[in-house]
Amino acid sequence: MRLPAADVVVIGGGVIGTAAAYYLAGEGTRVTLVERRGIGQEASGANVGLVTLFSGHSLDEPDPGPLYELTRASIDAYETFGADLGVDIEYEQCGGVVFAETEEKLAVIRRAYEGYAKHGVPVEWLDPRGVRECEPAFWSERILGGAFCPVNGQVNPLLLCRAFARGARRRGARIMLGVTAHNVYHGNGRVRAVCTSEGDIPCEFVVNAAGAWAAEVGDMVGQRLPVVPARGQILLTEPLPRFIHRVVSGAEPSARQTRRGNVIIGSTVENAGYDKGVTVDTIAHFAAGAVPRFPRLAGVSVIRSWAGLRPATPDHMPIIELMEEPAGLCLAVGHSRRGICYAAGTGRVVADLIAGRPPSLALDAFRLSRFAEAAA
Amino acid sequence: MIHGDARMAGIERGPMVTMLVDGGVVVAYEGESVAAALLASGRRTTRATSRTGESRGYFCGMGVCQDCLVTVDERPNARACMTPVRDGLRVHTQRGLGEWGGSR
Repeated sequence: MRLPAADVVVIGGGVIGTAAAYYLAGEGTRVTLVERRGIGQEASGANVGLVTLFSGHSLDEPDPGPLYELTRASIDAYETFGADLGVDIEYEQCGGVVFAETEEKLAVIRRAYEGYAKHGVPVEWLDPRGVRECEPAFWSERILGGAFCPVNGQVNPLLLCRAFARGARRRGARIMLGVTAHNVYHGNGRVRAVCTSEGDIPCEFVVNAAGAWAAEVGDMVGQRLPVVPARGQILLTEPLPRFIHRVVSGAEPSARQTRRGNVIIGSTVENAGYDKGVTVDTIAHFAAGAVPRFPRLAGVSVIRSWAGLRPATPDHMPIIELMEEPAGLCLAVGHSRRGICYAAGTGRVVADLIAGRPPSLALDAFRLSRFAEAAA
Repeated sequence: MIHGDARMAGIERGPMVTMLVDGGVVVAYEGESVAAALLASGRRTTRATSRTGESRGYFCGMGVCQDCLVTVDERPNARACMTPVRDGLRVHTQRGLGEWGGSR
C-alpha cells in the first residue's frame, strides 16, 4: 500500500523526532513522523528531566563548546515554548547545584566553572556552606564544594515530547503512532521512500531519530552507526510538599522535585542490551545515595521505578548530519543521556539542514565521520 | 463538628494516650489507629484536596485509598488509618500535600 508522499519522513517519536518534526513543519515542509509505539515512550519518557547548561556534560566539555550551544539553543526555546504553543511543559529555570564529594571531582568542576565563567556563562562557585545555603534540602558530610548555575532547570519530559508532537501536528505534520519503519528505500544515491507497517511513504528526506534503535535504521541504508542502548533507571516518590528547590546533579543519583511534588531520582548508565528491567541493586544504590543527602526522603513511599534505553555513542555526543550518501538522509541520533537538553537545538538545525540553510549552530563536532577518523 | 466520644461502651481498651490534633488534645487508646481516634472524636475530615479544597476523610480504612492523609510528627502524607496512636503524637489535618515541619 502507498501512503501520501511527504517531503520528510521522521523515524522516531521521541523528543528528538518530535522536535525535528515541529521545526520542519514550521518551514511549511510536509512532514510525516512514524513511531513504532507512542510519543516519548522510550528514553524520552524515562529520564529525570534536567535541563542543565552547566552539568555533567560541561565536565566533559570544560569550555563552552558545541554541546553548550546545543543546550543553550534548547533552553532558549523552552523558555518561550509554553507560551508559543499554549501548553505547559512544566519548564522551570530553578537553578541547579553541581556538587563534589571527592577532590578529583572538585577539580573537574572547578576547571569547568573557570572555563564557563570566563565565557560569561552565569556560574557561581560554592564552598560547602554555599552548597547548603543554595539547596537547604541537600546535605552531605563529605561535601567539598560545587557550583551553582541559575540557568539550570527542569522540564516534564513527557509533556515536552507531547508538546512538540502537538505543535508539529498543528503545523500540518502527520504523526503516525503504532507504525513501524521496516525499510528505507534508496536508489541512485538518494533516499526514495520509507517502507512502514502501514505502507510506503515516498519522500525526499528521511530523518533518523530512532534513538537506541538508530543503528537498525542505519542498517536499512547500509550505514553503520555507532549507537548502542545504554540503560538508565529512575525512581519516583509519592508527591511531597516542595522541599527541593534546585536541580541537584554531579554525582549519582541526581534529583529534582516535579511540579506535582514527586521526587525523581536517577539515573544510571548501564550496558544491558535492550533489557529495560529495573534492578534491586540499582534501586538500593539510589536509596543509599539519595536518603542521606536528602534526609526528608527517609520513610517516603516509592510509587514507580522504570528504565529507558538511551542512544549512546562512544564519545557521548550526538550525531547530527545531513548525509551525502545516501543524499536526503539526515541523522539526529546518539543524544546519549542528554536528549532533553539537546532536543530543540537539534530540531532547529535539522530544519536548517533540510531547508538547505547554513545551520544556526556549528555542527562539525557532530559528524559521523569523527568515529571513522578515531578508528583510523 | 462534634467533639464528643463516639466509642462504644463496654469494650475493653488499651491504656489511654493523648495526641495533639491541630493543636487540640484528643484522647485515644493504645491499639487504635489515628483514623479511629479522629473519627471517635468527631473529626470526619482529614484533609482538603490540593486543587479544589474539597474535604476528604476515611474511605477504605485499610491503607489503600490514600484519602485519609494527615501530617504526623511534622511528616506530611501519613495514612491516618495505618498509623497507630502513640502518646504525644502530633497530628495535623492538611491541605493538599501539606507542609513540612521541623528542619530540612
